[in-house]
Amino acid sequence: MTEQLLEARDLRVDFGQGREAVRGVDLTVARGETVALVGESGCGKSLTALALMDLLPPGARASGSARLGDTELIGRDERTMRRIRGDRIGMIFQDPMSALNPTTTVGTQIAEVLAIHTSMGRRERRRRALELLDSVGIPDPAVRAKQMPHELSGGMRQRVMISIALAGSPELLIADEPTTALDVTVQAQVLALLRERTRDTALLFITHDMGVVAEIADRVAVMYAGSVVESGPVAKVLEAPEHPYTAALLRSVPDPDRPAIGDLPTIPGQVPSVGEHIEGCPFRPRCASATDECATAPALVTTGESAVACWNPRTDLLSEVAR
Amino acid sequence: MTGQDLVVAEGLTKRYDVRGRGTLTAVDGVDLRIEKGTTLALVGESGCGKSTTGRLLLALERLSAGKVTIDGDSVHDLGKRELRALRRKMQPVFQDPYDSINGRMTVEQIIAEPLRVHRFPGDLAGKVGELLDAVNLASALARRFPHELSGGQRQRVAIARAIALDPEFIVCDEPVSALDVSVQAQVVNLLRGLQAERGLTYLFISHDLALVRYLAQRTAVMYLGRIVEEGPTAQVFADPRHPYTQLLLAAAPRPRVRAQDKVAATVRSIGELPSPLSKPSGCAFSSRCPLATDRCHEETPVLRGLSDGRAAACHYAETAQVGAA
Repeated sequence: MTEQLLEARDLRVDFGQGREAVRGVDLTVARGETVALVGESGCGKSLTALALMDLLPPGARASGSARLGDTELIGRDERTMRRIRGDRIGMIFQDPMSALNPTTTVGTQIAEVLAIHTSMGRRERRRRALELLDSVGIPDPAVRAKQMPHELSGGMRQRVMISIALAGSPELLIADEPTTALDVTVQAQVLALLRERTRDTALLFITHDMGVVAEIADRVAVMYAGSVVESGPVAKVLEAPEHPYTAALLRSVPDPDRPAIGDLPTIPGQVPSVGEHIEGCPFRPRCASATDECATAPALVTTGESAVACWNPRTDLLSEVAR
Repeated sequence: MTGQDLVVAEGLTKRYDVRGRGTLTAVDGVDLRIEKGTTLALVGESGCGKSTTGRLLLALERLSAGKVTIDGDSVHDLGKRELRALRRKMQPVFQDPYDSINGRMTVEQIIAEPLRVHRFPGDLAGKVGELLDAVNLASALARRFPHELSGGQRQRVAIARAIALDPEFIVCDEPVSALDVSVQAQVVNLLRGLQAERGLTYLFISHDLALVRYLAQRTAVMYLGRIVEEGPTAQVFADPRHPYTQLLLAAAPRPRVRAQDKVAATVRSIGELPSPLSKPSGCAFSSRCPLATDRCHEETPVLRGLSDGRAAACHYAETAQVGAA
C-alpha cells in the first residue's frame, strides 16, 4: 500500500440550515500521484478543493476530516492555514488574472513568494525567479520577468501561476480547472508541463472534462451531487466504469475519433440542486438500472484499487455498450 | 453540390485600427458558402476571427471589404428598413445567453420580444407556448426569470427567441461551450432536431472539433483571419490536409487513455499564436508549422481546391503529414 499524502474522510461543506453542497467526500492522494476530481457544475468538486485549502466562500463551513500527512486541515485557525498554503499546498486556479497582482511585474511576484517561503537573499530570489520562469517553458525569462501579467497571453500567465505555485516546493498541488480557459493547443502544452513538473509532487486536479482526465490523471474520482460515486485507476474508470453515472457521462462526451451517427447520448433529468433533500442513491431518478434497493443510499465500497457507490455496478466495457 | 446556397460570402474582410500599433486584420478575405438546410462549422482557436466572421454575416458589424448575400440579398448594401426586414430571416445564438437576454424580463417576455418588434399579428401567448414546446421547455417556466433557470434552460430560451420569427439562417456562436457535457449533448440534439423540422441553415462557430462532427455537413478551419481548410466534415476529420488542422485534431482531448503519438507530441512544441498585429510573412502558420520550408516563409499559400470537394491553403496540402517519420 502506497503512503497517502492527503486523506479526506467524510468531508462536508454546508451553507447553513443543513444546505449541504459537499455530502461526505472520501478521497486520497498518494505522494507523487495525480488524482483528477471530475464532475459537472454543482457537484461540489471545487468546494471540496476550497475546503482543503480553507478558502471557502463566506457562509460555507467545512466539517469532517482531511489530513495532509500528520496535519489536520479542517477546522484550523487562519494563521496556521496561511502557513500551510504555499509552504505545503500550492494552488492554481482557472483564471490566473484573479490570482496575480495586476500592478506588479511577474518577476517581482515570484520573488515575493520566495521571500515568504524560503530564506533566500534578495539577489538569489531574483535569480531563482528567472530559473522558475525558464523551468515552466517561458521564453526569454529575463524579458518576461519585467512584464505585467496583462502583457502575457493566457497560456503564459498560467505558466507563471504554475511557477509561483511550485516556488515553495509544496508537497501537494491543487489545480482547479487550470486549462479550461485555454485553447486546445495551449491546453495540451500546459498539461504536458504540469505532468512533467509534478512528477514528484502530489497533484489534485479538478476538472469537468473527461478528455483532460485522460491526459493528466493516474487515478480519477467521479463526483455526483456532493459525493464521490466512483474512483479508480484512470484507464479502468474510463474504459470500464462501474457506476451508471460515470458511464452515462462518458458516453455524452463527443469523441473526434468515433463516427458521429445520430444524436449524442444524453442523461435524462437534472442534477439535484445544492441542499436538495436526497433520499437513497442521488443518481436514482436519472438511472436506467435503478432497482428497489436504490431507495437506500449505497456506500462507497472499495475493491482492490477501485471504489464504487452503487447497488448494481456495471461489469461491461464502455466500448461494448450500445451507443 | 445539389442544393442552393443560402449564404454566400466573398472576400469578407474586417480591419481594425489599433491606435499607435497599426492595423489588425481580424478577417482577411474569407469566402464561404452555406447550402440551404445544412450546417457549416467554423472552427479555430481564440482570436482566429471566427466570431467576427459570424457577426459580419449577420451585418452586426460593418465590412471593410467583400460581400455577403443571404438568399440573394446583399446584406451590407441594404437600407435600414430593408435590413430590418431581412433580420427576420437571420438570427444569432450566443455562448452566454445572459449577455444577450434581459435579466429583468420573464422567459415569456424574452421570447415574445422579437414577435412584438416585428408586429406579430396572431395570438402572442399561444405562439410563445408553441416555441417553448419546440425547445422542450415546460410551459410553467414562462413566468420565470433567467436567473431562476439552469444554463441549459437559458440556452433553450435563447434558441426559442432566435426561431420565433421563423428565420432561415442562424449563426450559433459557441452555443454550448458554457454548458456541462450532458446538457451540451441535449442542446446539440435540439439544434439538430430544429434543423430537420424547419429546414434551418446554420453557421456553427466552435472551438470544439469533436462536437462539430455531430452537427455540420461541412467544416471550415480558420487561422489568423483566414480559412486554411474547408470540406465535408467526415473527410476533414478522417484525413486533414492542412498541418494546422492535423495539430488541432491531435490536441483535442479524448475521453480515453491514448498511446502518446508523434502528432500529439508535436503539439507541445508549437508554442502559441503570434500576435495578429504582426503576422508572419508568407503562410501565417509558418512560424509554428513543423513542416514549414523556405517557400512557406515567403509565399502566402492560397486556399485551393483538392480532390473530393475539399480545399486547403498549404503549398504541400497533398502530402503534408505532421508527425510522419
